[in-house]
Amino acid sequence: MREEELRAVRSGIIGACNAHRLANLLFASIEVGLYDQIPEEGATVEDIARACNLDQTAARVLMQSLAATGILAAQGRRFFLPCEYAQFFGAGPSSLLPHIRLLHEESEFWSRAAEVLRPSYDGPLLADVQFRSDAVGAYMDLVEWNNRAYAALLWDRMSDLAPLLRQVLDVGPGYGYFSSTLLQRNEQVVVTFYDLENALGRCRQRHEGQPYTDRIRWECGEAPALPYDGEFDVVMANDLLHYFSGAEKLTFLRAAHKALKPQGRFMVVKFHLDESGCAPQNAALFSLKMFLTTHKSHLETDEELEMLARDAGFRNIERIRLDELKTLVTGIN
Amino acid sequence: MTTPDEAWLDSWARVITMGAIFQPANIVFAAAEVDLFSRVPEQGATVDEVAAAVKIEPFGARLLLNALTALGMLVYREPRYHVPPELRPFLTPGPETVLPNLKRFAYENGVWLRMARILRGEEPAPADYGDEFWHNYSDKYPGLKGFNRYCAGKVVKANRETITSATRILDLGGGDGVFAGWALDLNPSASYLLVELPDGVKCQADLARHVESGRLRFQTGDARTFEHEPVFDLVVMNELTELFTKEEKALIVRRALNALAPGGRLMAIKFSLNADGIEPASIAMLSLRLSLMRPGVYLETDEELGLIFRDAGFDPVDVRQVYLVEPSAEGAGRSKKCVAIGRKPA
Repeated sequence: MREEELRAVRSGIIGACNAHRLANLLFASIEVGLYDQIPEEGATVEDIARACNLDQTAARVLMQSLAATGILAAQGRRFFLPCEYAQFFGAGPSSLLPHIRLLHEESEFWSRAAEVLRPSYDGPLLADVQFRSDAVGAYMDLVEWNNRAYAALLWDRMSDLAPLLRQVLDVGPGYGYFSSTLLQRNEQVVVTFYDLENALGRCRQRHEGQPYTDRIRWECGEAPALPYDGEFDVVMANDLLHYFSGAEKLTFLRAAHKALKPQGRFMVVKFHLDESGCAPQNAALFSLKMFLTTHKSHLETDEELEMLARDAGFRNIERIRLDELKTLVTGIN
Repeated sequence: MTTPDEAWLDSWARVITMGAIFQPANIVFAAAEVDLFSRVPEQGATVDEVAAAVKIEPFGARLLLNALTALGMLVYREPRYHVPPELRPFLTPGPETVLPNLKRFAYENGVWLRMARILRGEEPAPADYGDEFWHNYSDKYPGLKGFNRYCAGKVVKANRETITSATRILDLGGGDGVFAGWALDLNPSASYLLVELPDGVKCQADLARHVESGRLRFQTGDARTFEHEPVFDLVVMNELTELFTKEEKALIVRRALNALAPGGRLMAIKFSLNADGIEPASIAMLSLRLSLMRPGVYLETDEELGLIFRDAGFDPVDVRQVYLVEPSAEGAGRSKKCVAIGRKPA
C-alpha cells in the first residue's frame, strides 16, 4: 500500500475515534447553560464567562470550538446562535436540550462498554436512565422522531387489511402513532394500548381530546406476559422486540399468537438487520446499544424474527422491506 | 430546492448526529480495551474464539464484532471475522500501531464527558490528562512522533536561512528531538543545546552521532525558569507556547530573549490558528483540548503569537505559515504550521 493510502487509513481510524470530542463539546455547552445566555443580538466571551461562571479563557475556547463546528456563528467579538439552530437550543417545543442531556448520560455508558460487556458486570444499566421518570419523555420523543414516518408507510402497505379490522392490540406503542394513524383511517376499529404504566401515562396525554379517544382501551403490563386469549384481529409490536432477550422474544410471540383470533395477524415493524447482523451499520450499532441498555437484549435479524415467529406457531410469514432502514414482519395465526 | 420542513429536518439531524457521534468511537475504544484486534489472527477468528480470548460472553462478543464489522474495522466471512489487511498494521502491535492512541482517546473521552465541570473549575482534570503534551511521548506514540518529524522537516526546510546562519542554537522543550535532528543535519557547523523537563529527553539514540560528535548537548530545565548567558544565535520553541497560559507565554518568550545574543532570533512553531480562533476547526478543538489540562492554557492565534513577540521586545517580527501538504491536496485539517520569527535588537 502506498504511503498516502496508509496515511489516509490511519487518519480514518483516528478521525472516527476522536469524533467523541464533538459530542462532548455539545454536552459541555449545554451543561454550562451557554445557550440560555446568548440573546438574538449575540454575546461576547466576557458576557458568557460572567453568566456561565467560567473564566474567560475557558469561555473563549469553548465558544471558538462551537463556532468551528458551526453550532455558533461569530461576527467580530460577538457569538450568535444561527437561526436554524435557535429553536433546538431554546426552551420551546422543538427544544433538543432534554434529548442531548439524555445522550450525554448514554455516552457515559458507552464509555464503559468493555466493562458492561463482561459477564461479571452488575452495575447500573442504560435502561435505568432511559426509563427514569425525568428522562422517559425525552427518550420517547427520540424514538418517535425516528419511527413516526413508518406509521403511514405501514398502513399504506396494509391498505386492504386496515378497513376490516375491529380489535387491535398495540403492545409497547410509545406515543401510539401507529395506532392513531389506523384509528383515523378506520372509524370502527378499537385499539388496546398495552404498555408499562409510566409510558402509558404519556401516551394517554398525547391522545386526549382526539375524536377517536373513546375507541382506545388502556392496559398496563409487561409485554412478554400478555394476558389475552383469542380477542384481537391484529397484534402489533413495533420497535419493541429489541428490548427483549431471545427467550423473551419467543415468549412474547407465543403470547401474541394466543391473543389473536383465528386468522388473526401479528405485525412487527423493526429496524432492518441482515442475516450477518452486520448491516446496515446503524442497525448493527443499535443492536450493541440494546445490549448495553439491558445487558440481555439485542436487535434480532429479520431472519431471526421470522424463525422465532414460526416457532411461536405463526404461518404465512412475510418479510416486507418498508425502506432501506425498516422491515415489516407479519404472519397469520 | 429545500423546503422549510426539509431544512428543519436537516438542522435537527445535524444536532442529533453530533450528540450521538460518540457511539462509533466507543465501540472502537471497547475493542482496543479488551485487546480484540490482537486476538484475531490473519486466518480470522470465530465469535467463540474471540469471546474466549477477550473474556466476554459470546453473545455480547458477537454484537461487538458485528458493530466493528459494520464500521469497517473488521470483515466477516462466515464463520470468521478478519482484520482487513490494510488496517492490521494500525490495529495490532508494531511500529505503525495506533492502539496506544486509541486507548488515549478513550481516556480523553472520560475526561471530556466532565468538561463542563472542569471548565468551571468545579473539579480538576486528572493529573495525567495532557501528559502526551507535557512529557515526551515519543516512546509511547511512535505514529505521532513520525507525524511530528514530518512537520519539523517541512518547517526546517522552509526556514533554511534562519537555521543555517546560526552557530549556537538553543531548543526549549524539544525533547523528542525531531527539530534538532533536521536542524543539525542542515547546519553542520551549529552546536545545539536541548533543554527539557526531567526524564523528557528521549532522542539520544536517534541523534547519537550528534551527541558523540559533541554538537548536541542536553540540559534539564523548564522554559518558564530557564536562564542562560546571552550567547545563542537562535532559540527554537517547537510546539511549546500552546502548553502555557497567556502570562506564561509572555514569560517564556522573555526568557528566550534574555538567552539570545544581540541580533539573535527566536523561532516559535505551532499549529496555525486564524485570528478569530475558529479556523481550522480541528485546531480550534486542539485549543479546547489543551485548555482542559489546567486553567488558562490555550493555543494562541498566529496574530497573538506575533504580538507576544513584539511586546517582549523583538523587532522585526515575521509570522508566516508553512503548508504541511500542498494547499490543493485533500484533507489534512492540520495542514499549516505557524512559524513566528523575531529578532533581538542589536
